[in-house]
Amino acid sequence: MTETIQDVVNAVSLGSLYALFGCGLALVLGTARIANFAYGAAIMVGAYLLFLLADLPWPVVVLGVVLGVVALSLAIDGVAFRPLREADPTTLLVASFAVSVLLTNLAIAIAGARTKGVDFGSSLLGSVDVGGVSIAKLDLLTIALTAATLLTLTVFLRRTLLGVQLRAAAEDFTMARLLGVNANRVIAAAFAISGVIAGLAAVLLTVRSGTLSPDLGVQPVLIAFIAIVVGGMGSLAGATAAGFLIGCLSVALEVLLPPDLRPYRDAFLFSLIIVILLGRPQGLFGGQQVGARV
Amino acid sequence: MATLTVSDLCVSYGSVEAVRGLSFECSAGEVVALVGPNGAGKSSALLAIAGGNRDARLSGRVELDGEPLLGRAPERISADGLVLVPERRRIFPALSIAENLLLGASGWARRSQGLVAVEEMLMRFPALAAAPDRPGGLLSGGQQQQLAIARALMARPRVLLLDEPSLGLAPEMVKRVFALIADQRRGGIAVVLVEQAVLGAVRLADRCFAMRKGRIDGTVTEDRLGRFVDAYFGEVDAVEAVR
Repeated sequence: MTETIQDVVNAVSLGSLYALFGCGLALVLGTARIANFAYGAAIMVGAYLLFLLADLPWPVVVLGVVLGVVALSLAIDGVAFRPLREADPTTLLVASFAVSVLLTNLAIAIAGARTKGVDFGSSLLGSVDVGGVSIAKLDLLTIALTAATLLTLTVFLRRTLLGVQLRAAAEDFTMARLLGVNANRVIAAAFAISGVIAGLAAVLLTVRSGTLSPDLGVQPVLIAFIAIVVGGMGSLAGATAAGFLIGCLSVALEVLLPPDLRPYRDAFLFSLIIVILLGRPQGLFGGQQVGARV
Repeated sequence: MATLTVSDLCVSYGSVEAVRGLSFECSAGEVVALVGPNGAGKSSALLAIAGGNRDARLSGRVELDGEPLLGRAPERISADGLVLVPERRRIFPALSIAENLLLGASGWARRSQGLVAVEEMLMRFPALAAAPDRPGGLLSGGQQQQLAIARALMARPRVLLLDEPSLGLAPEMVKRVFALIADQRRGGIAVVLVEQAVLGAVRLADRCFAMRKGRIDGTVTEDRLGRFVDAYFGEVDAVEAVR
């Protein structure tokens, strides 16, 4: 029983982290119609920022990482994507690869290609006793932080003019502009929020693994794209929920597979995803086509 | 001076010329109608004037009170006072009526000001005020058309462009929408109306131009309507045109 509860918490925790990955990427894809591969690199830069700041008090570290990744995301939008506003999606995809490669190689040039250990958040690695069951503090933090982030995002999207503009832009960007919605402002807002999420994800991911390397953003961005496809292109809630589901499935397979099959967990995971997509090619929660860009 | 002046407007998509030298003027408190068969370039012209077709090549001049508009970003044009109610209305289906309206105030309002303006607008549109939290996608065609016009009015335009507001509506609802357009004219707005329902458009408009192959090639009046319909629509579409 105790073990089952621990496994469930573990699954919800990994699901939360993957939900963050999916949500941050889906936001930019949904509004700006950019498949932003540089999102993974932004998470990676966040992890290196954390490495640099690790000796400072933790609130300063978290704030520094989040603000740093937001600034980076806005810079990526302004420098790489804004000049390409009227370009076709393929050009934007290639541009996002270029930014990703550039940032990864900058990290290698500055910090080296070797994996480093990070000494931050080690106090989170312990467990707390909840009703007789020992639960990892990091899992609780991950779940709470994700819930708070998604709740804040929902309130923002529903209760502010900029939030309503973001939702409108995701549905029909040209119509939103015809009504006076400023395209650059809305896209910058999407990148900024995506940056906040990438920053938080970087902190959680680094504390979880305790290490960092220049390719650390590859797996998150891969999971985020899978979450978007499984959730249904164009659906923010869908991508978030699918990210959550993939995280939960991953832990479930880890627990349920016989020990000698466990090394092949990801093969089973992605096979399951293929089965889901064969049954529902439009995604679990979607159905709506991604419409014309700006 | 006219509020809106369009001179020698050309719009092309790749090698296809949709609009070829369109010129007309529209003054405050005036309704100018453009009628003609499908593919005459009416919708392309309106979209180009509002800045909404970014993939098209444009030339000519469009002026709003003497200020050149052509090539500006659509959000600038809308903030300057020219707003388009596009073909098929393009209501945001997942957003509520109130949110659709609020977006119309994007060019000038903060959220609190916008919400006040939404309340005022809802009072003018009882059909929308009944359930302002309903998603736009669940409304009937007539309600959607009213919402589209109300949403455009939220921007407080000097010029309103309407693309086929009668499309898909029951005759009773067409009358109501045309009465709504006449109200805007009385309010001093310059209205440019594109229509397939020629009879209604001719009766409503101060001037009605026939468009064919991307430019204006005649004026339509009620007593010459029969000749226009024969020449432009052929027998099959004539019933639809004079509806």
